Amino acid sequence: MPKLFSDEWIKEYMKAINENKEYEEAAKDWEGDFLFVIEPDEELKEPLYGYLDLYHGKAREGYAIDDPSKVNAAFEFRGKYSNWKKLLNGEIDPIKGLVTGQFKLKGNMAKVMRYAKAAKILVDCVKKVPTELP
Amino acid sequence: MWWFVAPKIVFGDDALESLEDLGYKRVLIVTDEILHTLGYVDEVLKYLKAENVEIFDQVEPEPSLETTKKAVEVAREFQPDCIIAIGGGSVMDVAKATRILYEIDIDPEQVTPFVNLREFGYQKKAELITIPTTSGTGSETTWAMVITDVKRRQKLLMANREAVPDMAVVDARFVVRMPPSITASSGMDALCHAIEAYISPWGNEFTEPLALKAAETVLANIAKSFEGEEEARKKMHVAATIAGLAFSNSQVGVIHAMGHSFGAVFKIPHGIAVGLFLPYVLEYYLNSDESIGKVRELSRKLGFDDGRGLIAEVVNLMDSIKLPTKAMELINEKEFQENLDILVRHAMEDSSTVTSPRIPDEAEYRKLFECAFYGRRVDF
Ligand SMILES: [Fe+2]
Repeated sequence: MPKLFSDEWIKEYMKAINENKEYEEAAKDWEGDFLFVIEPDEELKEPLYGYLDLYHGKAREGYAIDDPSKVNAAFEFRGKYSNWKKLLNGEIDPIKGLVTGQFKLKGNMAKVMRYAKAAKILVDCVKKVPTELP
Repeated sequence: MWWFVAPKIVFGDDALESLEDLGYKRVLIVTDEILHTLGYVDEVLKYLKAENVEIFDQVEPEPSLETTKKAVEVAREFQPDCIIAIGGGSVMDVAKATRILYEIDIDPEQVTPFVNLREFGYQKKAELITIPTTSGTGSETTWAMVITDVKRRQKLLMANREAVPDMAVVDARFVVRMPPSITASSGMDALCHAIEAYISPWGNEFTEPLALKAAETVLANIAKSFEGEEEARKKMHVAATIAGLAFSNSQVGVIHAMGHSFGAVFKIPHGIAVGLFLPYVLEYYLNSDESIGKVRELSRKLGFDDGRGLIAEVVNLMDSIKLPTKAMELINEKEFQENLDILVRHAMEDSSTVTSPRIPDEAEYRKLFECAFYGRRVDF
């Protein structure tokens, strides 16, 4: 099983997104790339970073990165590892997680609000990826 | 983790008297010209003991960003320690936005539930008191502000916990003489808030009993209130605030997404627009395993055998208070068909869509609008 936020994992995740018709529909006008950050906590020593470029209903590029300053993504979505685990197994709704501050989002918030359904599907897609947790 | 956020609430006869003991020095009153002329501001000033009072009475229905900016300018000049909103949803929304923008320079569009305004330097220089003069929007308790950006022809759905008022004064003296048509439409808005709050996937232990109580009260009193019965109007006034507390902490769904879209495109008052879609969306929810449970549960708690019983009662009530139950009573077919694509797109982009127990895709939204236009049954 690919490790969470490894290159291989992100490729699998992109495949899940690109096979999802519902996502394609909900995000058909979306343009914007994301930097995902898993912040360390008791269970995770070093932060993990992933990059994903989402464009018109598809994931057109994505990879793991070690130095976040190398990318200049339009959006940054970050949270503690313990909260990411809850997000990945469906215990935290991504939008609710942003409202409570368990996740933080940088970028054009109003735009994300309008694509809330797409955001939800993106999280659902993660569940289709076999994942080895760090 | 979740929150329940609410203002302090003063309600019942003489609730306005509570203003006597507040001790603010500089109070900015936000209202509209009609209410000002009708003497509503004077009624409040009878109780308010503030050294300095400034009145901004330029709020229009469907308030614009420009109006909000004017109110902000007045606030920046006047430096209030308290802002009091006297009015319906539009007035309260402008007052909420003014309190934030008066203090910090932030693009209004960025005032979303996801930002911590304290990081932008917001310190709540002014307390906010809301005095609703209609019984429906619940805006006196909520975190949302609907402001229209006229230049971009777009509604800004601003929302943030810091926008929740500090105190709501729910005094029915302002609604006993409300015109019946406004009683009807605002009452339907309250009913939609209560029902959508109850069935929302974000509903919780705190919001559920409030939503149920509000739905019960509205169903029992909306027709009598429409007829002008004073006791019923008082009950509706409190129920609208209770529904506001419920949905503000659990969100609304497809009924509001469609209502926002339809209301914006055809300039239909909010309560009429949301009420119109209520029976159709409930039927849509009943047709799926993912959403039927909560609708059925609510219907039974309200004393109906099943969801269909609730829908039939809602339609009866709408007839009796002279509200349209088909969109074709409001607009013609050509207008409808020409704007159907926009209606669907706006509903899909509405932030209420994602907090629905069943989320329609584009084709389903299209069919829902068609059912509501022609008065067809929802069979999908
Ligand atoms: Fe509403």
